[in-house]
Amino acid sequence: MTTRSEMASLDPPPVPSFDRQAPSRLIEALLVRVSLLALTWWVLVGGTDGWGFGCVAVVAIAALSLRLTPPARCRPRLRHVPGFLLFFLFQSLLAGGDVGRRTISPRLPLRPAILHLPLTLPPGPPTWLLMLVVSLLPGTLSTSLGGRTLELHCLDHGLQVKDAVVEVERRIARLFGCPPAPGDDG
Amino acid sequence: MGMLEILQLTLITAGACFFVVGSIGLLRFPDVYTRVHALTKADNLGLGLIVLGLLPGAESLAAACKLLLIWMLALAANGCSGYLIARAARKLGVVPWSRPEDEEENR
Repeated sequence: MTTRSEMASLDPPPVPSFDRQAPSRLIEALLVRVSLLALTWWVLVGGTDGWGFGCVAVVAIAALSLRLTPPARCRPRLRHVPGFLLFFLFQSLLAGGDVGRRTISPRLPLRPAILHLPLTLPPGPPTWLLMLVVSLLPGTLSTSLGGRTLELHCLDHGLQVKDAVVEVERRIARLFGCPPAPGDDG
Repeated sequence: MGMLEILQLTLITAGACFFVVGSIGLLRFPDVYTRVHALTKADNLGLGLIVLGLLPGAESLAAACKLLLIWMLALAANGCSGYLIARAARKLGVVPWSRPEDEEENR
């Protein structure tokens, strides 16, 4: 019983946006997360064993995740996921090749620079994904996010870094189905 | 040795080579930022190629998915840790290395 009261005292104050969620959206998010977690459990155990514990874990983690990250307005659209994955895999291949070439070359062709780029994506998951993807793109590395400006370290300032980041932003906006930010007509 | 085995062997060898390249980059590159570049990108591709090479040999669908899950988690960890190291270096005021001729642009 002590654990129960401890749990209750550890509860953070309710997040205001959480209460304003439409119940249907909350239920949809719960179902999606439970399905994904159940899939992950199946992958981990690789069979029919351990589902008793698995069910408890899946429901507990789904509830905790809803608490920590309430359903957002922008969510990845399933039909855009394969296209984005292909783009990402191709870019990963280019990035590995690019950095490999620079590593092996005796002249060590590096012209690093720090760049600041304004972002048009909404804050939250779309921006997090952008920073992650940018770090795995050829020659770019997210170093910090100040407000709506992304600071990048690039390996070669001769690369078209800005165009590449804008392209990733466009693809993430389409993946999430976000409304374009004001002043962005692309 | 069948075609599939040759393909698998090629993919896994290529993947291992990218890990070696990443490690060489860690030794050769001049500062923390460029080293993070070398490690994150080369390891991402190296692990991806190794996973791709191992997929046809997976015993079950769940085992194949587990390989892909490992790669996805490593990707996320790669991107996050690379960002955190770079951000910490920026906060500590580590000046990025640059070629002497580019020096004035980066100040």
